Amino acid sequence: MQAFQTGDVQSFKVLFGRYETPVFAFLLRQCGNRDTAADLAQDVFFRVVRGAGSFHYQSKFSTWIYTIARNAAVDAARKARHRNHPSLDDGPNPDGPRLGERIASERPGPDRGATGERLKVDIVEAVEKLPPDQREVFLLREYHGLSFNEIAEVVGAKVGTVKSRMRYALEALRRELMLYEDYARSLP
Amino acid sequence: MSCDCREFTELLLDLAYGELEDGEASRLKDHAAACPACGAELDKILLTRKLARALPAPEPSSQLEGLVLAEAERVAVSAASRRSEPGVRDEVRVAGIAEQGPTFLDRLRAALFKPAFATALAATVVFAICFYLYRNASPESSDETGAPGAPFYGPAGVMSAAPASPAQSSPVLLAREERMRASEEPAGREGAIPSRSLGTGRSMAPSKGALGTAGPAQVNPADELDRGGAALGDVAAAAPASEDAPPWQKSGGGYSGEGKAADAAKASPAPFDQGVADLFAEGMDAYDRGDCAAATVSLERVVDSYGAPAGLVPKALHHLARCARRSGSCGRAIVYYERLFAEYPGYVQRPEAMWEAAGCHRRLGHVEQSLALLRELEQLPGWGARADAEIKSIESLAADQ
Repeated sequence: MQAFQTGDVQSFKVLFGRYETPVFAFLLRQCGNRDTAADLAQDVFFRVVRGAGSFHYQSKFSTWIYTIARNAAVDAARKARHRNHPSLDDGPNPDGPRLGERIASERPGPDRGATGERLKVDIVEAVEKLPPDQREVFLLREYHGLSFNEIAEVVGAKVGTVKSRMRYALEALRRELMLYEDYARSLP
Repeated sequence: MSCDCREFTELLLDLAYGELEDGEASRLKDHAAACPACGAELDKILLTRKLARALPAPEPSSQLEGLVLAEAERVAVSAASRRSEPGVRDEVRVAGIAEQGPTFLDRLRAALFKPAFATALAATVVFAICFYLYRNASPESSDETGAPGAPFYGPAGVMSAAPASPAQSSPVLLAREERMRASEEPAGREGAIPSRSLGTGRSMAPSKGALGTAGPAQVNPADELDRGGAALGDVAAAAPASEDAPPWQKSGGGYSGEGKAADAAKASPAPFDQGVADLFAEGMDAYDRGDCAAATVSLERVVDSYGAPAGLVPKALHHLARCARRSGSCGRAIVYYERLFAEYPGYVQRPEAMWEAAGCHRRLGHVEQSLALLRELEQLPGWGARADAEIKSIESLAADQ
């Protein structure tokens, strides 16, 4: 980031490569729509590029970029709530991925009935079912490696609140995925 | 040393996610091994974490990289070019790339604490206060005229050129004017505009007639623009009429009278260019701030301006398209992109614009148009692989459908 602040675009390329997939994944899980997530990801990185001068290392870069991403996702969700244009292929959960995306990307075909493949689908659904405030905490801790203190900074809540949300999220996931308990014990 | 179940419960998540120091973690693990209830709690979380690893990590589209890096390049180039201009440090910071080192405020703060500077500053303040008191105590105090300071600065030439107000025609003022005329040399100063008279406030600023005597070079373009739309109209009408200019411009009529304005423009076409350049800069600043509504207003005025400096219109069109795209209106964006491609085939960022337009067409379901742009892009150096991947992606989706 320091190198980019002095105008070195190549260094930004490295930074972008590191955060491109995680940020997009976070946004996709939060907004549930691939196109929206792509637009949001573009917006997030544009804000990073344009706001590079205002980043003064008072927090980690990861905390900063996830704060931007989280705010973008919250804004998008707020705007989506004001729109009333349900698509024909929307699922029962309006915030969830659309039918085409679920079938194309994550639902296994009829010949792929292995437990691991079923788990991939069920974990996606279980994460989608989490309330947004629990889901963001769970995603940031579990997949993006932010500490509870950093997550508190990103979501603007107390550490105790963050941990409480995390507990609820883990409990909800455990209930949803109870069938896989034996399978989980067999995993390394 | 052991710990109780309550402490274990409090630190359970920190333990499960490895946020504790080794000593404390092993102490809690010992407790979990000894306490079945706490052990079961830890076990549940660790099992859930194992299952959570199955969540697939979706890959973003290949478009994202191209767009973001192009933007990073644009911001870096813009910042570098602006950094080279004197006095634009703050603008550069707004653009995103800050210069390293202390800011202006830091340097000012440091300077204020230097004894020599502080002494000089104090002396200046004392001198200014004394000067102010001396002026107020003077029998020629401006209080008599109702126009503070003006007679002190304004010599006879300006006074006579300014419109006569009741205060200026008062006996006191007239008497002072006479005294000043008498004290100044009779020739050589008439009609001259002292630079300080411009700073004495609107009430005593020279009229247009007074400025006119100094020639068109004295017109301040910033003042023209400050007056808003009408000023822009004046300036627009003052632009030199070219063969491809619209009829209203050729005739010199429309926004302002022909003759004087057109002659002034011939003598000094700078105000027009400066006006459009300022609009462009405003638009780009708004775009950089993410204020697409304001950017669109300014950039559309740039696009609609005739005789704008070369290079601004295609950039304005490009950013109008980006704004439209960002606000979710790909249809409007495509209108700008198509105008850009048709009217400015040599535009330096044409490949980026083509890539973005292809994305918009794809989003709108215009597969053929998207593919056509990508195939053209595929031939350009540096874009082959990216365009090829996108073409394959579109074709495979089309085949699935």
